[in-house]
Amino acid sequence: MNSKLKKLLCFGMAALMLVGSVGCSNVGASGKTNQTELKVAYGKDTNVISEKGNPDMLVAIFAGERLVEVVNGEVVPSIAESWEVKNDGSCISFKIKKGLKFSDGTDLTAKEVRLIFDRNIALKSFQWTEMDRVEKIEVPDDYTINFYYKDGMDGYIALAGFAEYGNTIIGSNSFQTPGDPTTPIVKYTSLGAWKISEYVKDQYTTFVPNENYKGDAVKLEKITVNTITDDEARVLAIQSGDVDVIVDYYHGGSAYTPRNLLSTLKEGGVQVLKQEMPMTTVLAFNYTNNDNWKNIKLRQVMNYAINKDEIAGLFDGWITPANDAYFSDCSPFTTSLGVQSYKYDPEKAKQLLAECGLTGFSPKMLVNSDNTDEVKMAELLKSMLLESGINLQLEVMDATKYADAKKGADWDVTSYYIGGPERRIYSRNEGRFDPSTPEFGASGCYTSETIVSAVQKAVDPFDVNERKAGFKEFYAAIDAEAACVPLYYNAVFVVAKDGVEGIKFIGTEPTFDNVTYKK
Amino acid sequence: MIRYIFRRLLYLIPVLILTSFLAYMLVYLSPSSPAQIILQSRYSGDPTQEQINDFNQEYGFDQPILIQYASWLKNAVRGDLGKSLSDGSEVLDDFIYSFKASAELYFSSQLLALIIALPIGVYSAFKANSIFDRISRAYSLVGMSIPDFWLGMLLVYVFSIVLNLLPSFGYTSPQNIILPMLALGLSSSFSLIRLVRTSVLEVLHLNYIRTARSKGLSEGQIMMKHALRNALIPIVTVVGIHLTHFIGGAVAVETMFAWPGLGNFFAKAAGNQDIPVIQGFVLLSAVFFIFANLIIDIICKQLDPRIDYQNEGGKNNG
Repeated sequence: MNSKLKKLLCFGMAALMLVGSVGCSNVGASGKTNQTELKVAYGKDTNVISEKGNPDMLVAIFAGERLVEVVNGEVVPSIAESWEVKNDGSCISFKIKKGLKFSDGTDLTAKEVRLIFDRNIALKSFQWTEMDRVEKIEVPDDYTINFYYKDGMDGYIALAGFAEYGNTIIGSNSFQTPGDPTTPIVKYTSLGAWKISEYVKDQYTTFVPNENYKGDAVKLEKITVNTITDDEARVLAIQSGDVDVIVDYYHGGSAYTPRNLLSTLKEGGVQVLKQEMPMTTVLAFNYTNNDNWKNIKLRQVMNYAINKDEIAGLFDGWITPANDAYFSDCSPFTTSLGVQSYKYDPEKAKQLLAECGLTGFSPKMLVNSDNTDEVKMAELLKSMLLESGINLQLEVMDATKYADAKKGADWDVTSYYIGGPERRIYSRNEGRFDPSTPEFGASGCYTSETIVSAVQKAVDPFDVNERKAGFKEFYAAIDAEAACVPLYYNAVFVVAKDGVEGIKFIGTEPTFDNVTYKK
Repeated sequence: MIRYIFRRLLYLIPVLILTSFLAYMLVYLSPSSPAQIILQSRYSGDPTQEQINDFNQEYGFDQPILIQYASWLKNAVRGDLGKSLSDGSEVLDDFIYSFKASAELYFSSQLLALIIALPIGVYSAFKANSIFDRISRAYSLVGMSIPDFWLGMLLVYVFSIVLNLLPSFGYTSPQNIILPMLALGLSSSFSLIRLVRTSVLEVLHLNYIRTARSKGLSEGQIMMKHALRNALIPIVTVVGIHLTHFIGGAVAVETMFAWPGLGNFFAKAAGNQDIPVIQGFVLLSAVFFIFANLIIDIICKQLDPRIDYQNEGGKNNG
């Protein structure tokens, strides 16, 4: 054997021993090593760069802070240390915390705070932000900002509106022309625990710790949010270990892990974290364009004809059927106040339908084909309603056509949702039932003067007991009018690999500030 | 040949005007409006009529369709394809980025398809009705009945989940291209194998091959010098037809692997009714197709000098 070959063999053996010892040391110690990076799969682009809108909610959750937050139904301080309602309720004044800095090092002052509100007003971004009622904004000093309302502020709902994602405070350097909030957002300087270090449109967004954040430091060094629009591709990505976590986009739409894949994932050793939220998927009636739905008996027919337990079964039991109340008990003022009176009773449905005189009733249901869960549920509803003599016609169409079709007269029912994540428990209930709000759009639930009056009593008062009484009246009103058919309580799901610990839900928001990951 | 190329390039002008106009009309005739879709996404809720009116006024959608089109065309001639209505990014920049991603995927997958299909197809033709030929025909038949995205999922399962060798998605490292390339390349190879076999088989029965055999040439010489060259013409044409994969046909595979190609680019724009992006895509795709077909014609001419493009329709006068 020549010396070169000997050397090569020796080197090879040494390398093998080294690799072996490294492998043994891992197993012998803890079996798992601490990871510094977390890879997240998300079904949407984060829209960090935005010409006229605002970035996605995930950016607001990771990197954003607002004047106030809504926690357990109550408004609590965040960037604002306190607030005061003045001038007979026509002005709300916030005192801003001192010593805070944006992620780019800029000091936080009231002048910076007002930029996002100026942007929302200038660009008429009124949905959920409650800025449509604001007449002017004043900054009397560096740490005070006053909002003056046109016809008096709308009460508690206006205050809660400051917790909206669209009202997340961003620094002046976020805008294409620094300090001009009407120009596009080209980077994201904010106040949250994380800051954005890299964004590639439609591909990924990288978050790193914000060294200027005054709260507790985050534990990971990096979180990469990967845009994977295909539901099954996200599931395959976590199964292959290419991502560690899948986060739902839960504001409607379809960018979430299909519920009937959750059991398979769990059986495969993946954690499935569920947080129920005060948002309920309902069947809404096109009463504005179709007079049939103005007959309360017909609305009651639909309430009696649907078996919600079967719907829950369709999703492997991962969602809770809305059998008892309009909302899940996770929200304040819900189950204890809002019990619904309609239980599954196909015979009663048949009887009421006969009283309506609608023989061969064939309502048309609009279904968004992009949401596979919605399609499955619609097919189940069709077979279920047949038992009560209702021949549901499904019109399945893509999201683009669906959005436009909803505005027309040529449909009867569609699946929709009422209530919302914590910050929207007030605004979305008002938005769904009060046609005068900018959020009402084309397709709120059935409403009446009684319901509108009740919903205002629920969302306006600053006094918690008054709000509670208002919610009781509101729930009773929608129940008495059979305003919609509550189907199931929505939930946010986060799917995480074994070893990912510390994902916490604050309200319905998954937060990653305390996450550690051992692999 | 140069005259022919010049003439084909002149065709570009009416073709581009016609395709872009048709695309504009199709979007206009669509039942959904860009204002509704874009604003719904911008405001996370149904827009009000006032917001829709403001949007239409700002982007000129309240103008008659011909004026809108003329205005777009005027800017396009100056090289300004406008900005996306969704996020304000430049249409041309986004197209170039997606084009690059698509080109990488398309050319690598077509190369793979040729590497697989040429030897198998040629050998099958030479050994027609042998066991190898039967197996290769069965293989391509089964393969053709598998959708490319399903093949993609199968590949992810084997190479990413079971073997943990390759990433299942993304566009960040060279490894990312392997699985989508395999999904598209294998899919294309299944049909190409049959095509190569049929083309070669057809050529092998022609008189000039018989003459070559009677002159005592070896089978290898016959294949390389005479048969393959002529059999390549339909193959090149079909590879050209596979360009649809490049432009939009690979959308399922691109979505599956989160590949930022033109298929995804267009699907997103169409879903958003993002008119400037749709128009830019149609225009630039038309330019690409015309150039690609021109190149294919030139290659065919090189392969078979008898093809005479000077005559109308490029008839073969041989």
